Amino acid sequence: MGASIAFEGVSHRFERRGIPVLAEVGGQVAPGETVALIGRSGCGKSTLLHILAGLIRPSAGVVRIDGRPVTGPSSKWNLMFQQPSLYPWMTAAENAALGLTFAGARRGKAETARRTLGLVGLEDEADANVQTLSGGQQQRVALARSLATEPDVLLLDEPFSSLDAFTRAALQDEVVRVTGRLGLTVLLVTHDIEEAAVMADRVLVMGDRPGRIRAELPISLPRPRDRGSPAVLAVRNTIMRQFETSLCLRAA
Amino acid sequence: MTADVEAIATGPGALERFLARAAKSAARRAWLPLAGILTLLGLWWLGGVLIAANPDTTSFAGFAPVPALAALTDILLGGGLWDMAGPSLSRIGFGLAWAAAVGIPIGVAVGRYAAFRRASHTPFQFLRMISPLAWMPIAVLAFATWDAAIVFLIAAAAIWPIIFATANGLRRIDPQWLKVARNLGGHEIQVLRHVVFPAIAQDMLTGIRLALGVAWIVLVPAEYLGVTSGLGYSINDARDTLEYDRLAAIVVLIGAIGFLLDGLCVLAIKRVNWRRAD
Ligand SMILES: Nc1ncnc2c1ncn2[C@@H]1O[C@H](COP(=O)(O)OP(=O)(O)OP(=O)(O)O)[C@@H](O)[C@H]1O
Ligand SMILES: [Mg+2]
Repeated sequence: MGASIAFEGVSHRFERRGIPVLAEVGGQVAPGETVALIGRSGCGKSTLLHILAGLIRPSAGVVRIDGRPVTGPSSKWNLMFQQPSLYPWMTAAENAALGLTFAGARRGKAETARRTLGLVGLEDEADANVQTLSGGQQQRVALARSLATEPDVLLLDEPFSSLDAFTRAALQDEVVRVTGRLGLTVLLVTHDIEEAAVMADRVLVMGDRPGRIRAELPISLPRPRDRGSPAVLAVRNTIMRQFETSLCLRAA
Repeated sequence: MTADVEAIATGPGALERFLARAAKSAARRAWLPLAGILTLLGLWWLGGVLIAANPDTTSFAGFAPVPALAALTDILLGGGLWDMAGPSLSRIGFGLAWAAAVGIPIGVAVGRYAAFRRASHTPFQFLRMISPLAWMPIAVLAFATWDAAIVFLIAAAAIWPIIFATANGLRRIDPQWLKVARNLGGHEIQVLRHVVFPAIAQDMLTGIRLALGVAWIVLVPAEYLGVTSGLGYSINDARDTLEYDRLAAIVVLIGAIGFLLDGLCVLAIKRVNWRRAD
């Protein structure tokens, strides 16, 4: 089941006297909610996601997942990256099982990994050399690897941006289906307005220099959503306008 | 395969044609390596002829291929092989094991920690350039037995390629692999075991292969001193007893065993290689 994410006063600079990348960023994601985070390149989206995942310690601020402060990585939440970064010396199933190995699981590890691969439609490739899989299949294995430890929260950092349009659409639907079924809380960073319109319950617009949440936009359409439907197209336009206004507001 | 079967199945003379084709392609593949070996033998034989022809060196005629190969057959059939090579192989084994046990952790530290890499660079490059045999007097003083001193000299020669190959492998690791592993909740030791070591297994074995090469070269001169067993000792012994055919046979043995050990390393490297050609 999903867990809540709450972060407040999160500020970050990479060097002691460097320019601030994030300034007093705050927000909340409800259990089971899918939130999309959009913003210009370099505004600090990945940095924020790394902080939420416990991979970077922020200069200031706190992050709570399920009410408990995040101090480092955990099997209860997982960050999925743009590149699948699979381990080429492991089969697809071994890749998917790595988080379970780290958690000290002995029995049932292989079955869980296989079941999770089944969840993303790759049961037949369980024993495949991951180097022989297509880009889309590799990203599915990475998704299975993220899901195998049964996390409550999935943080996605542009997970589909290196894929072609058709594979991307298929994987977006896949993630909507799987995370909906498992009731996961999802925070999705994306450059793709359509992706946000198809997947999210809510869109956060982030401004840059320093990064800050500028606007918030709820999307109350049931899922799965049809990309070509007038409602989704309307949402796309609204997000686009909101995005431009937020940045214009800043210039004014 | 099916094409081969068809070739056999089609009519009289087909089998002969098939066998002739197979023999021809095997010969085509084998002839260059064979030519290389024959050239080496030819040069050896020529050397033997020249030595025999010169009145000053005729007493060394045992170096020529015919007497040397006869002596080699004696060693192989007479069971003297293991007595000679066994102690050498054991010293090499212990020397390499020590070099790997010390060198791999150091290599990991060099590859992983920039501060350690910068601090150790000059000392390591300096030490690496010192011939291991230069440590001989110190080794003899420091170790109670000659055997231990030889193992130390081998390890001192073998450690550098292992350190540098390990460090090199580590630096070529995709940083994203480490991030993903940490993100999946892996602790330092788990990440080393499940990600770092498999990723650099090939580099480490390549280091061990290079180490074996230098260790095998250092072994023979190291065995000239003190000990009364091993290939290096046997060479010295054969010289003292003027058995030049036997001496040449041991030289051939040293080359052959080294060649075999190197082949084993190549096989091991192939086994752990996860990189696909395409
Ligand atoms: N490890 C780092 N050290 C120093 N500066 C960094 C580091 N990582 C990111 N930055 C800087 O922080 C800022 C925000 O980077 P971040 O990767 O979070 O942006 P982003 O919003 O994810 O961009 P994109 O959409 O292109 O992925 C950038 O200006 C970047 O140069
Ligand atoms: Mg980014």
